[in-house]
Amino acid sequence: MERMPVFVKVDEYDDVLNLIKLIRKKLDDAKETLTKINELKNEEDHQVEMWNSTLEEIEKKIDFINHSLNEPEQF
Amino acid sequence: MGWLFGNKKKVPRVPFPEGLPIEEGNSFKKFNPGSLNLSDKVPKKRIIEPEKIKSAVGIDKGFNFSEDMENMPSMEEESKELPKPTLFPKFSNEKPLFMTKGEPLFIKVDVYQRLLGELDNIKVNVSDLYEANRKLASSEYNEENHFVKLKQTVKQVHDRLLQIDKTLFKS
Repeated sequence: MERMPVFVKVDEYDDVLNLIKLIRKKLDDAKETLTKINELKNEEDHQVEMWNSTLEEIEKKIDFINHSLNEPEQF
Repeated sequence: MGWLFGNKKKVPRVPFPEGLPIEEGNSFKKFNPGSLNLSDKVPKKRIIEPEKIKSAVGIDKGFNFSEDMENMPSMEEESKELPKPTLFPKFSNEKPLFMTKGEPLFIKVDVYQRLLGELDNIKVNVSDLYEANRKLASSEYNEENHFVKLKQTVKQVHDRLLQIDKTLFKS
């Protein structure tokens, strides 16, 4: 016997289409928000990197002061 | 000025043709086509009056496609030659091909099962996103704590530096 295709009836499918349209809009909003978050994260990373370099610089200067006070004959 | 108006009027050597004298009552209104001496090659049967055009074309008799239908290829043969569509074809975001509002849509069972499976996958993805969101929120809280701690530490370092500066300048 030949296999016949079986169909499923979907009522009010235009509601589903409207919902899909809405979900697409929300996905676009989420993408836009994620892009902004990424930009903020990059900016934060830049600030943290600056923090790190400044702390290293301060540490070197403190070391210099420490050596200068502890072993003044070497300078 | 003599060269402009001095020439005599030339009389043509060939005389003009003399037409028939127009009698009174033989005007153009009473034109007789037989007097033109044209050959009557077009039979009167070929002339189709405007009101007889439909019958001449054969519209009033109706159409009979029985002979043509035998020579036409069947739709099944054509559908076999067409390439099979992929499961996820690229749809445009414009209006769908079918937009009959209020009427139900019929989907093949295998496509319907596939749709349900994809919906389940989307639900799992959304729950993953919820989990990631929760982790990010807690991470942000920790980040805020670290930031407060960092500010306190910098303030303490600054105070100590000022104290050292004061002590060194005193001496």
